[in-house]
Amino acid sequence: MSPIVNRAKERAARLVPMPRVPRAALILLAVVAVLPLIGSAYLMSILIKVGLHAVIGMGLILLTGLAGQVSLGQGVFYGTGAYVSALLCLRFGISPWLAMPLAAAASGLLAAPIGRAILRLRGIIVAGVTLTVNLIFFYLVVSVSDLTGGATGLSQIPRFEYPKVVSYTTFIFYAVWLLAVLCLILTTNLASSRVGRALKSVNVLGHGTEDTPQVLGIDVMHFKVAAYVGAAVFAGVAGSVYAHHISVIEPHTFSVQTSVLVAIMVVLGGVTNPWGAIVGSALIVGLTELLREVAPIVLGGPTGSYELVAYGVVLVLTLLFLPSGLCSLPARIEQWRRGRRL
Amino acid sequence: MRKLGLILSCLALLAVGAAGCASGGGDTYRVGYLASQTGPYAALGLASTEGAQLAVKQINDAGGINGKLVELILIDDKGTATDSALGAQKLVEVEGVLTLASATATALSHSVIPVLNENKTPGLIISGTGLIMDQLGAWTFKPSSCEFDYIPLPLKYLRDDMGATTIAAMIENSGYGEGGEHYLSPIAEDMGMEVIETQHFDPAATDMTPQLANVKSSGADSMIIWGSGPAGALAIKQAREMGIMIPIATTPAQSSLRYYESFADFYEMDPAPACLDNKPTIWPQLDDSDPDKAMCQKFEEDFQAEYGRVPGIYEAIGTSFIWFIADALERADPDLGDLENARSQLRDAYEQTENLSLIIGTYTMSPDDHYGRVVPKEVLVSFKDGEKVLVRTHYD
Amino acid sequence: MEASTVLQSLISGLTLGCIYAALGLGLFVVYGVTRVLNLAQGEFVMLGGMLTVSFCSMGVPLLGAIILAVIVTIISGAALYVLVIKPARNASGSTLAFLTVGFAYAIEGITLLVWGWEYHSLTNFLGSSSIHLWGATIFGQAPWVVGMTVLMVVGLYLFFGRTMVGKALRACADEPLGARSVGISVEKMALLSFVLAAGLGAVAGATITPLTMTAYNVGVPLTIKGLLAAFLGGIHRAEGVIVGGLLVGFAEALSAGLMPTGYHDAIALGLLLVVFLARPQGLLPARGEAG
Repeated sequence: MSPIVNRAKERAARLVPMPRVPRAALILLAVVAVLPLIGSAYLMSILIKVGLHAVIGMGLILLTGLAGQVSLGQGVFYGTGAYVSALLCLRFGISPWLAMPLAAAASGLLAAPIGRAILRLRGIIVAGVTLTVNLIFFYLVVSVSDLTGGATGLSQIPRFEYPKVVSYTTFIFYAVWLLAVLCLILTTNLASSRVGRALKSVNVLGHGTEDTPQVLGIDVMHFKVAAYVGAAVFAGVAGSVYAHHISVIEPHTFSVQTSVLVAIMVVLGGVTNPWGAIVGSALIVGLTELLREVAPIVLGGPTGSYELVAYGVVLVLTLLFLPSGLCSLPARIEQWRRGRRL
Repeated sequence: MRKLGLILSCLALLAVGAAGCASGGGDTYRVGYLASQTGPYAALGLASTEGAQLAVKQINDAGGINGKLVELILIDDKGTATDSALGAQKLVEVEGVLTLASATATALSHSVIPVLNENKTPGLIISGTGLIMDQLGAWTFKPSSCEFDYIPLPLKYLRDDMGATTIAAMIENSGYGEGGEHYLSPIAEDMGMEVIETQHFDPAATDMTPQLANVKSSGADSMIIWGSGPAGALAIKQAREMGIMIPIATTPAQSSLRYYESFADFYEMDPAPACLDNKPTIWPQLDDSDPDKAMCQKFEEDFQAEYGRVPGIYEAIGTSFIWFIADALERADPDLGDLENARSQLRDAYEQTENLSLIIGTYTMSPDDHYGRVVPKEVLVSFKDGEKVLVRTHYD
Repeated sequence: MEASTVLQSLISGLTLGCIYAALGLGLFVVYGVTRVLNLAQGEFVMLGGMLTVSFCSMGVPLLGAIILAVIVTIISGAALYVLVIKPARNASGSTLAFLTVGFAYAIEGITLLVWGWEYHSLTNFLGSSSIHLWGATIFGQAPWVVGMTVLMVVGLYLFFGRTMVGKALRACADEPLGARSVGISVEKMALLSFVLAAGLGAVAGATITPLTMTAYNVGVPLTIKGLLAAFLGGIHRAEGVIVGGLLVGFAEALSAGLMPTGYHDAIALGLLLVVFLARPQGLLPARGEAG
């Protein structure tokens, strides 16, 4: 194309920022639209679980893959979103549609001061601090039982109002995956934007140093905290949807175990690629369901412990063969094929 | 494009996992059993699973119900609300069960109730708290226990047998503990006692000496330990070791023989703690006029023969649930050709349960009452010379 | 607030603190040499306890049972390194940490299969009985726990400072390239660090079981407490980990005894978080840094 046209295109893009929509995302949307027609409600429920964890994971990728901060504390914001949304509906009778953005905002507001406090730290200590914050959150929720229902939790959380052309499960399925695709587009655009590239240069897991962006004149803390808040908002929205989906929430759902699970999903899928959250989540949930399906056929009686062992083994094997995550698989296959040709 | 290939293959993996076997029609009664096989409540879940499996085996060995065998389908709820809901859904939708029993902790059974109500499938939940009663809905039944039924038993022991008027409550930080804490004070007050000190402990706590020091300095003349995890038993040991010799009453978990074997010296210090328990563990000491004696003897002996150990309260619950279901199946004789109708018939049969004597209680259900325990059957036991001793029943 | 309650809380804090310090030391040994965060450390402690119980119930005298338990746990530690860590040694820190998580899941599942879900205990070593002091009680096994941690610390100090192997391990931690250039096999040292951590964990597990009981699922909470201890005190020095462990133990016990019940866990952790934020590099600075 002629350079004049290119420059014109660039100018136009800067004037009217259009989000880049990866073609793959559109294809995913198409698959999502069609699935409820061929799949069972149970499959929808499983995919809702995949979608919710993928959204939380994408928030984590924003933080880890772009800004290089390790967080074992997404559970805090997942939980904040869920509890705030549930309480607003149960106590004040407002609609879940209104409660959800409020809950997401609450997560973000909570994240800002926490992020500012802990993100000036570097390295592995951030993992420890986010873990501690998650533990505190858990015990606080259990303590303030008059508000949160304590260890028993909250139940009978109202559902979203929606046009009843499909079942509630199908509705939530669409909502979750629409959310996931939106987050995907958002994250992908952030990654390739000026902000994203600045963040990547901060990435301690990558090859930049902390000094690079300062040389370029970027306020590092500002972007790190923004990434942390962004991750919190993603998790908050997911939490709200979760609360109105299962209608029951209790503190263990938002514990350190969940934060670690999401982190594992993201590492498995590939930390630097927003698709990694979806792939990793699908893999872990799929693996769990597959084991649940296969184990009783191969063995009899309660098979939970066998499934646990198999889960650990598969996790280890997958990480051993694909340390950069599943999303690196195509690249690895390419490398291998190229190697063979030579 | 390659990424999409990845996604699709993952989805395919899921689809394979979720497709499951087609819901069996035909000639067996498919009963789902959702319990914790892993996770924090595995002890409760695995124990009750064994009780349930024993009952199913006995039913099938005797020829089944209405000529049909019972098929028990086990699913792990992994101790989380999400997996409980998913497990219930899998049983109902993919496995096509007629009914399911959810032997999971209270917080988890909360998430099973909507699945049952939505899919119009009758189900049993184990939850032992009265706090859940208004949420059962049309399809959930709770043939278990409620605090307001059984708290008076240990309190009577403390008040009448031990002469105590004030209580220090050691409450576990769990849903189970919260239920106990909620009911303990008002019921104690009704009985002329007062809870003057409350301390909390983690279900997996290993050192409760600070809390117990507070109990000691409160001057209470009795203590109640309320928990389902191992910490409760440790609390008995630590209390006695600290020289806290006031009478102690506890929830069933602490009467497990495993804990007794670990801490025998402390369990037998005078006064020995009195623990809630169920009749099979001390059936020889039951009065001959007790109508449950024969049933409890049979259960204890059969369980010993099958699993080589004495059954505890969770095993009894598992067995009782299956017998409850079996009784209704026999009366309903549901038409297996039409699953929806069969479930509805079974639900009606549950509601018509009348004076059904199970190990954990006698139940009469009705459309308004899905708890229906008309005769509570807990007992209070203590330990002496290496054996469990019956201290009190509800009718002393 | 009674004096005896304060004293009891302090005693409890010391005991718990020593347990967490021992866990932190296991984490330190591996992290220091390999920069891997071994999230399966709690499982080594659990295995130590469970195996000792099993061997004792087979009739093996206590000391022999502990030694056998340590041997078996060491084998699992070696397996963790050889099968899981070594093949992935060029992966990122997160990947390596999650590899240990996968290993921990597998160990937990296998333990559940072999031993079941029940809790097990041991009698106090040498039948030690409690000591009563000014209205407070010191449990019989508590001095053994404290003593074990002290011995561990002294032992590690001598090992790292005085023996050739220990010095080689330290060299790997401080300067892997330099270590290799003088002929130290970094791989062998890494294996040794995992083996050492497993052994320490097993000893700790056997020692705490009379006090705390053991079961298939006690590993994870112990690992978390060990992480808190290590991060708080500074994972780069053994002294840091010990200080961190004691701090966590005292925070837990004192708030349980003195703070309003129901909130004491949140308060204890809140205090720890404040310390974290005030001194994120760890209470004790790494060697070579200004204090």
